[in-house]
Amino acid sequence: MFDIIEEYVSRVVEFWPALFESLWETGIMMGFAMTAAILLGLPLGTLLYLTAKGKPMENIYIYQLSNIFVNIVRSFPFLLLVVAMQPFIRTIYGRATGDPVAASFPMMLIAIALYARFVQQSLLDVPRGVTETAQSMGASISQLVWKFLFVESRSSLIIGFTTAFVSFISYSTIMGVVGGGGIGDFAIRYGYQRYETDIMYTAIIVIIIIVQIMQWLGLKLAKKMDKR
Amino acid sequence: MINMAGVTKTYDGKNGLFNAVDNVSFKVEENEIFGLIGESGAGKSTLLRFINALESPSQGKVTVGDIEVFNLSGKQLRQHQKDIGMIFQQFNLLNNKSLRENVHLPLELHKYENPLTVEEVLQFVGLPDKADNYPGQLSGGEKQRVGIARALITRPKILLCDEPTSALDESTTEEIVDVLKRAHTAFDMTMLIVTHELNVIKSMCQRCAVMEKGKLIDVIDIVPNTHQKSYKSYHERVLKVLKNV
Repeated sequence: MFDIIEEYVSRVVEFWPALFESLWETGIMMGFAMTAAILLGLPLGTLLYLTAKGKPMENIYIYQLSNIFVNIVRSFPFLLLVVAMQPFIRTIYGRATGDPVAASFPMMLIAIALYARFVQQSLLDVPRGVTETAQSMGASISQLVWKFLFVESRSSLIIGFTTAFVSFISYSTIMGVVGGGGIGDFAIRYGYQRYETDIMYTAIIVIIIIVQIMQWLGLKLAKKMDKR
Repeated sequence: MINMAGVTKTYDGKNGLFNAVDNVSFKVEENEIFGLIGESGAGKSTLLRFINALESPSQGKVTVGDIEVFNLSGKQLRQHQKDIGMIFQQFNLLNNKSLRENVHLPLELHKYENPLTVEEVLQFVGLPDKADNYPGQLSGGEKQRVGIARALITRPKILLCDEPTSALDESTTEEIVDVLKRAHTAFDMTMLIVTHELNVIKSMCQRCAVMEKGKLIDVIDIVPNTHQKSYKSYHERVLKVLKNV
């Protein structure tokens, strides 16, 4: 029994540098994806909410354009999105493979589309009376968004972000296909291609732990900010 | 002060076009407390919302003071709205903000020349020591008091009340009616009250308009009660109603 544990520990120690490097690559991809989700997904989701029929900025063209964009990105099987974006990434970044930054482009695109949808849903859950109150006080659109809608939907926005984060992790595991690396790629290379099952399971457990921690943190933060 | 001239609101419903508000005209004088009564669906809330442009009429003219409401540009409209207070049936407080933040909210949106302070208005509505609570910790009556405090902090020239007591029980209704009457005395303003509760209208208003199926049927001068009946407790009210004590 002890022999097995000893052998396992020594193997983990041996593979640790490679595992650590792949975690770093995952971190890069996740960093880009999360930043894009907040900087572009949040405004896009808000725009979807505001321009829908009967809402304060009702505009069928902007709404349909944003809606179709989100639907197209989300209906792409992710692997095909990665492949289809190759020429585009090569044009603007110089290279499309073998690099976690290049691999972050499709991650960012799916992050924007996915989180925009979550944001739209969160805002739709804000009672109608909140918007009406803002209007009755003569609030501008930006005041409506910042001082009313985001305040009342903040815990839901955080929970949505947590859910999106877990999906981003899942998407990131595909990026080994274009040499983007990451923890998922690590698991496939060692577990699938070299039959080093113990190392693969170790990588999977690491992923599970990351997801558990983020989910716990997200829910805790959301609960703390929810005064309803 | 407020003048509606031939206002109509047409909706495209399941059974074709119908008029939620049908060619209604009336005037409200400055400093008056004016009631709008009718059964649900009579169009009274829609009519009230024309005044601060939360709804817009399909036809007709709405004038407040010397402003024609539906001729205003976006920015002028917000300036018009900022001087009109409104309270709602469902209170419409922000549940993630403390009472202090809720009441202070209108002052964060616009500059007001001579606003009241959060402490003054919370004192006025009888919630002086709850500024740091959240709406979720309050009863319905207390929430409406906060709604009133939020409306009063800007010293509005007009206060619109949309079913202010319809979500409340009888004794709480009396308390809220009392707060609104005190507010009318303390701060010069014109008040419009939409409700289906006749006793609320009777104890507050000088005149009221009666709506039925979108049409204005009548404008009534109200004869006030000579004797005020009020019960000390819920128990006394129960005895009075159920046992004729």
